[in-house]
Amino acid sequence: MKKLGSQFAVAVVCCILGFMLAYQFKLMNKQNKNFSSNNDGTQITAEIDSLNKQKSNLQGKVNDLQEKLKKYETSAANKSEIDKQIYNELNYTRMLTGNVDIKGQGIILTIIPQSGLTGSIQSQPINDKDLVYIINYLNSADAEGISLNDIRITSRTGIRNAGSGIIVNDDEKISPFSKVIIKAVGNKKNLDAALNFPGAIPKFPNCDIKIEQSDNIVINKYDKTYKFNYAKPVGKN
Amino acid sequence: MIAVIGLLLGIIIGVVVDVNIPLEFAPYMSVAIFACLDSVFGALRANLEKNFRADIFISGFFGNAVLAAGLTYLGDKLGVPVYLAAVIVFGGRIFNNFAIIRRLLIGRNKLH
Repeated sequence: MKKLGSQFAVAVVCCILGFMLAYQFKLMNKQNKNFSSNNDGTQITAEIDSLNKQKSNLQGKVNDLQEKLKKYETSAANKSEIDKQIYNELNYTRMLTGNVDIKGQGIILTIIPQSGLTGSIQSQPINDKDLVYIINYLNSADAEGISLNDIRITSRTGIRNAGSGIIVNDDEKISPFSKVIIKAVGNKKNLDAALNFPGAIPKFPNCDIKIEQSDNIVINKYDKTYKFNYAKPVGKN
Repeated sequence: MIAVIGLLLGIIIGVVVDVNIPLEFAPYMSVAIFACLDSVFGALRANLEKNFRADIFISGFFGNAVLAAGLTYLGDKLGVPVYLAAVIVFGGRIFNNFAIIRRLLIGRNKLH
């Protein structure tokens, strides 16, 4: 009896071992399959190039269409006073949503990551949270338009870390290892005072921070359209 | 022998059944498998030397596996690759046991 019991125990133990081996092999095979399909570097680079070209072509088309739209609107607005007022309202709203280029006085904040003593930048010096914090500060100092590396910041702009870069507006990537330029249009003295307030700008390790006031800052527009898939206006009409 | 049958049965179950153990445990499983292999080799050698004891085998099997996984986990938390110690030691013991098994088998064959 004792021998049978011990033999049975040995059999169970070997079962467990066999199961673990088979499971591990299956797992490793699955992982290897997942990784080996992403290795054509040159193909991916070529794809990126062609997509970039497509994007700039389409960008040119968008600009042309917007010019045409402007011409139609101005000619329509010249017909009557009411239309002119509506047109002005429209322009004003467009400034708010970030759909037109704006210019005016304001400040330019430049953050330049310095390479450390070893000559290379090790951990990510600029974080998405820090950028959001700065933009929030500028907004509370009454900035009327903000751009981050020439990407317009709107009320629906999201800034988040993604891999080795920061994605702004779901689409454009900026690298936290090269300089980041934040421009804001507003009362330049107020904006400058707000940024120079101690604690306003978060501590960036190893970075050079420059703030300059300027009388002529141009902020480019946000050139994508907003989609409202879920929100509908409340009330009649 | 029952052990081989058990092993085959276990492998078949592992291939057929689709178990979902969370992926974080994968490295621990690898080290535990290594520890179990070492136990099995020790058991084989004990069998050939006629002093196999099932309770020592089983306790060694599970104990080594748990200890190896525990050391790997500790190494993860401390940032030190402690699992290397387990791998080296178990690898060394497997080779040792295998050498002794070889000598025993060849010695037996010579007598026959």
